[in-house]
Amino acid sequence: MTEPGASNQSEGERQLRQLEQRRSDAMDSGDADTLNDVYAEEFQLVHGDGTLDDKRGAIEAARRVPRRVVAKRELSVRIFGDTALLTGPVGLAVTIDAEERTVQVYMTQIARVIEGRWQFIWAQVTLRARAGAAT
Amino acid sequence: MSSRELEGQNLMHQIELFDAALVAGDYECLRRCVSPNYMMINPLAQRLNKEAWLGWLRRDIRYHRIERNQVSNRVLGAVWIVTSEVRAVMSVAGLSNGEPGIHHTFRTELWVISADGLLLEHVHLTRME
Repeated sequence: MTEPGASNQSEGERQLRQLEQRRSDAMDSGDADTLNDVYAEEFQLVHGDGTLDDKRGAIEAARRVPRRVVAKRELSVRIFGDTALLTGPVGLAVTIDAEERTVQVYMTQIARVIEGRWQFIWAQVTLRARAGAAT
Repeated sequence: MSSRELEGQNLMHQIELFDAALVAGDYECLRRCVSPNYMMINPLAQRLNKEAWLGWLRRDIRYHRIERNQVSNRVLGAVWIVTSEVRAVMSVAGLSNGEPGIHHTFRTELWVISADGLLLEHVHLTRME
């Protein structure tokens, strides 16, 4: 792989898991500075309803709708050179109108090496099946 | 035309081929289009590997029409990322009596490794609500 300061694939995977942990912790604590750091300028987010946000919108959405991870994420990491694919389900407690709800989502993230370090450039979320939902 | 532009053209052709195979129910073509490591996140947020995905298509899904809009593709080293908005007319086992009565709009993301025959590696579908 192209080296982001990593000596091999497993080192890259370790860095990516650490990046995701930083992002997850920042979401839990509403830490906009860390989100600003882990998201590249080109970052885009597809929310569970299919709407698209840019970096600023994604950070604002995290501030507006607090969420925290309620179950440790099963994370799969694949590295293609200086680009990586992170996938896995995650359980979130989301606060909407002062009411906390638990939702299960599946998240795909893309990270790239930018100026020597991994940053997220894309994230996409799909909500777990609801009654009556099809394909 | 640069080699990258040519690869981009080939990529778009491959996507058209993929969509056509979905509508035709050409499972052998679909099997050839995707990597052995292929993974799909379907709109029910289920993770399907290659065989599970092909089984799901055969068993439950029939595409009647696929329209792909706002296609964007970027090459990132060994990987192409393609994002597009997809309008699909489809029927689903147990719903609409097999008639093409279900219309969905998805945001789709495709992963393709250019170095390995433009095989599709990963698809994630999110339905527009």
